[in-house]
Amino acid sequence: MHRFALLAALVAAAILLAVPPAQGATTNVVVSQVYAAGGNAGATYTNDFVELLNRGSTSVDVSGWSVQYASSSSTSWQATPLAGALQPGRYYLVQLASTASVGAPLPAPEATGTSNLAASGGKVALVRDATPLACGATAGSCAGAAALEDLVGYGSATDYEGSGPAPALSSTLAAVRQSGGCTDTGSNVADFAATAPTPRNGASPAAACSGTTSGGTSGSAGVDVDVQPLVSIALERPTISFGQVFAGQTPASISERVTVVSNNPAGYTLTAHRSLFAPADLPLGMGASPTAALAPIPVAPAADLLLATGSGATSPTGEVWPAVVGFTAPIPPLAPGHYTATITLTVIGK
Amino acid sequence: MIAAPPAALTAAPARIELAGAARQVVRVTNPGRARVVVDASQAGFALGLRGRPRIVRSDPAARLSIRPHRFALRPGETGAVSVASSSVAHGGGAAGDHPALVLLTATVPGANAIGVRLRVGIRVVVRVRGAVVHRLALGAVAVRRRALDLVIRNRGNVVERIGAGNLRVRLRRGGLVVASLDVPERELLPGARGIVTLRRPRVRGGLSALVELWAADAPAKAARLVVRLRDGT
Repeated sequence: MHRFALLAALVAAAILLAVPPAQGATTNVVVSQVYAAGGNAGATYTNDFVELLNRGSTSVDVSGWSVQYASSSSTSWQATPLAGALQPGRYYLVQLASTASVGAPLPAPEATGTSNLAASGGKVALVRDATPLACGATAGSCAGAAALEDLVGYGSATDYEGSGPAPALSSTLAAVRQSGGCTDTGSNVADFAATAPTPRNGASPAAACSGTTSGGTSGSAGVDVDVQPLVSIALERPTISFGQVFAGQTPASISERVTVVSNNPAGYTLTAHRSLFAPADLPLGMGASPTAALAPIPVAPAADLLLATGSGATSPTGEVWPAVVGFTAPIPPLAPGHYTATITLTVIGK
Repeated sequence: MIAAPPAALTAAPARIELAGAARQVVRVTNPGRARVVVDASQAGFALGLRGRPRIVRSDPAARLSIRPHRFALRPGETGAVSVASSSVAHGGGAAGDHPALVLLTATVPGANAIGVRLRVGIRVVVRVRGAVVHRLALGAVAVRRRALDLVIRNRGNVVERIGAGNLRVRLRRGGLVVASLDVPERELLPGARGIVTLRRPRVRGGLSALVELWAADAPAKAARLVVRLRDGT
C-alpha cells in the first residue's frame, strides 16, 4: 500500500509539473473595470466602457487582441480590436456603445467599439486574438479557450472566473476590480465590487501593483514619462530689409533660414503667406532654398504657399530649411516711400 | 553651446483632444533671443486630399474658448494658454469629432521693416458626446506607373487613422497572393475623403490587386475591390 501511495504521489507530482501554469501564455493584463449603462437614464457616463490594466512589470503589446462581449447566457461574442502597448501599471480604456447623450463623456479612449453592454448581466473577455469566442453557456466553459487572457462575468452571467460572477451593474455602478485593478485571485465575485465608475485611460496615473515587482532583497521602482507632441519654429531673422531699391531693379534675395522641430511621427508642413505691402503692393516671393525658383507669397486669405513638408519626426536639433525671400519681378515704378508688409511662416503637424 | 535663434516659438502639446466640455493647457515657450508677443486665435482645420494640413473656416461645433488671447514672452520664458471646448459646454454640435486649430502667432515688436511672424498650429479635436460611428468607404482607384491611388471616404463621425490596421492590398496571380503592399498611415477627418498612395512593383503578365478596407470596430465587414494591373512586357 505504501509503495502504491508513493507511486501515486510521484505520478501526481509529475502531472502537476507537466501542466503549464494558467494556460501558459497569459500575461498580467486584466479587465479592471466594466461599465454597462452608458447613456442610459441617470447614467454617469455617456458610453459603456471596459478598462484594462497591465498588472505586470513588463510592457505588453495588445495589437491584434480584442475585448469581447456576450450577453448573460449567450455564446455569441462581439469583438472590439485593440492596438498599441500597455506599459507596466498603465490602464487602457475601451469605449463602447452609447444609447443616448446622457452622462459625462469618457476620457480619451485607446480603442473604441460598438458593443452595447447590458447592465443586468453579461460577460466581458480579454482575448489575445480577434476571433470571437464561442463559449460561455455554463460556468467554466470559457476557461479552456486557448486565447483567453481574462474573463469577467457580472450579474446574471452564466460564465465567470471562480465561484461566482461580479455584482450586477447600474447607471451609477461599475464592476471595479479592487486595489486599483491589482487584485486578481481568479474569482470574479471576490475580485470585483460594484462602485461608482472611474474610467482611466493611458494618461491616468499608473497603478502600483505590489505583487508584480520582484521579491527577495532587491527592490524596483517603475519609471515612466509621457512625452508630449511638440512643435517649434525658429527664424534666422525676425525682420527683412532690402534697403534702398529703385524701380526696374530686382533686389538680391535675402536668406531666411527656418528651423522646424517636431516629434510628430506623421511629419509637418511649413507654409507662408503675407500681408499686402503698404502703401502699395510689391511682388514678394519665397523659395525653400537659394537655388529654388522664387514663388509668389500669397496674400491672406488666399491659401498659403507650401514651402516644405516633413514626413516624420525631426532630429532633436530640427530640420533646417535654407529659405530665401526676394522679389519675383522688378520693382514697379511706384511713388517713393517706405513700403512694409508682414510674412507669416506657419508650421502644423500632419 | 548652440546659440539661441533670433526668434523662435515652441508649443506643446501640439495636438490635443477635448472630450466633451473639457479644458487643456498648451505650454508656449520663447527659446529665441528676442522678446515676442504671442496672439492665440482659433481657426478651422482640414486635411487636403493627400493629407496636407489646411487652415479653413471654423466649425461652429468646435468653438473654443482660448485664454489669454495675447501675451508677451521674454527670451526663455514659458506661458500657458488654456483651450476649452466652449460650444460643447453649451450643448452644441453633432455627436463625434470636430477638428479645430489653435494658432499661436509670435511677432517681434518694434520692427520697421518687412516683419516675419512665426506661427504654430495646435491641432484640436473636440469630441461631442453621443454615438460613435466608424464607417469607411472605398472610392475610385487609380493605377499609376509605380503606385496605386486609393480614394477613401470617412463616412463616420470620428477621426480615422488609415493604415495597416484597416487597409490591406494584396497582389494575386491565379488566386495566389504574391505580394502585400505597404500601407502608409494617414488620417481622415469625419466626412472627408483622401487619397492613400501605395507603392507597387512593376507587373509582368498581369496581376490583380485585392483591396480590403474595414472600420476599426467591424473587421469582418471589409469592403473589397479587385483591380487589374498590367504594365506590359
